[in-house]
Amino acid sequence: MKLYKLSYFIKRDFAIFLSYKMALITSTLGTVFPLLTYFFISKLVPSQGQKGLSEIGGDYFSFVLIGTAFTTYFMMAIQEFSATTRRDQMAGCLEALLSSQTDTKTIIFMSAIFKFIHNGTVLIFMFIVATLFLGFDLSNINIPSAFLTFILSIFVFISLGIFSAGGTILFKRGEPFSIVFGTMSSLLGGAIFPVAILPDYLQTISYLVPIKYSLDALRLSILRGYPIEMLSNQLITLLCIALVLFPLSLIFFEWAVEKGKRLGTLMQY
Amino acid sequence: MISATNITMQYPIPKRYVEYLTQPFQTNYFKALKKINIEIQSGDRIAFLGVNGAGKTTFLKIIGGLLYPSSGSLCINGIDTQKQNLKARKRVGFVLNEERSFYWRLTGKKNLLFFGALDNIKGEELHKKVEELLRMVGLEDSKDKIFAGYSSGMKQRLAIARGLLSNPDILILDEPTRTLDPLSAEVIGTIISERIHNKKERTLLIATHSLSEAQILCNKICFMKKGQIIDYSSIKSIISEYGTLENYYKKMMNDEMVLDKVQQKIVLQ
Repeated sequence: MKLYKLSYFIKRDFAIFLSYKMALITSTLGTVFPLLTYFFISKLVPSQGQKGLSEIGGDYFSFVLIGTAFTTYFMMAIQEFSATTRRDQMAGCLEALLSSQTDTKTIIFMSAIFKFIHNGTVLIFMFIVATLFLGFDLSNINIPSAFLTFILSIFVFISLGIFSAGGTILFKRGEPFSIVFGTMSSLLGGAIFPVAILPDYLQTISYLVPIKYSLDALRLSILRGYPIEMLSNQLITLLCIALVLFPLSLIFFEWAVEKGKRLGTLMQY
Repeated sequence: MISATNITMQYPIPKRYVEYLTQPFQTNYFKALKKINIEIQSGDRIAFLGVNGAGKTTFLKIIGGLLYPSSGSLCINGIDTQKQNLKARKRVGFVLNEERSFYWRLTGKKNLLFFGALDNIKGEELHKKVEELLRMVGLEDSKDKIFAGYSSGMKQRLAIARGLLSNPDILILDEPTRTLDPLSAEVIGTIISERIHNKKERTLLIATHSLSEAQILCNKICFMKKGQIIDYSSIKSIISEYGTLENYYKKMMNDEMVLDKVQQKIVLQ
């Protein structure tokens, strides 16, 4: 990877981000308010005997914080590649980018990097606020297993994101990947409530949703300090999904770009 | 040398509602280019003339590797623009007529630095090159002004500077003076004739509606009509045959009008 190119993408997006002053303020406030909302909702949920919460210590606030914070991040990974493609299409810059001497995959990948850094910072900020002011307990965290889970999950969701970007090139609006996974993740992934409270048939379907494995492993590694070997089921599943989806997504994206160039629809939005 | 063989380009046309019901699986196409064959020698300066919709921009985008033809092939110095797209693109600088193709919230200099990095220029060399180009197009005093504050002429000059970043063998300009007042157009013309064409082996391809621009900047005319090249001649031979480019253009246009009338008659009968 050419790091100097990456640095120019980050500089570009950082300069544009800073130029929107109001967005800076609203994005900071936007991270704090949901935290408080979940904190007060958690007061309604008894800490003992709740199905699906006991494995992680019974605290609903910890459950929902990890669920929503990481789901938001992973959904960004799915949506950002297609969002950046569409932004550049609409801004008129896509043609200029694609006429440069950098290949399309690199352009799409690097265009999304700043958002990953920015949202990663927001994620850390949320956990700092929750730990300092809302009683979130990070003392049991097993950093290597949490980190490995995060990296494997990122590969899975980046793959879905690349599929989504290819879909945006083909369908412009309403590409199916992020819609399907967005809906499935919130219902079946266990972001806001434990999958264990769902009917049996929905629980069976939830095994097809990658984010379920990510959130299970993240909760167990952060809240209970599970080491890597105790999370092998989830981690191997995530690895297998990533190994299959990542190359397929790149092939699909290349095919979508070629089709767009051949039909002359690449710049349309 | 640019060599185009049997280039055909067809775009899908949106269907009417009734067609979705009556012909659900049929796609209608508009043929933008019909079997284009041409060889362009290195160092040629060619003006592409023709009415709007004649196929000039589509053909130039195929040369620039931004579009792939539906059939046929295009090679730049033996490099196929479809099979080795990135390698072929390295030979070409594309000056887009779309003023939105820059980042409006970045300065002119930051825009050029970003696009320069995409063209594989880095470090000190990139900064030197950008300063040199800004000087060449007369924007050195406005380099730190944000792009949104540039006039149309300044935007077009910046687009020319971007096209020259990689010092390409082939420079494509798509209607470079389309939105400019006569004075700004003259400045652009001067920049192209005096400062860009000092590299004698550089091929210059300009889509234009300005005959004076064509006469000053180019040595050949490629006249396109309804997706076909109907004439490819040197300006010298055109002048000796028709006296002026205006007469030549009128003749070509009249031929087209006559052709249209004949076609209308056939349809009516």
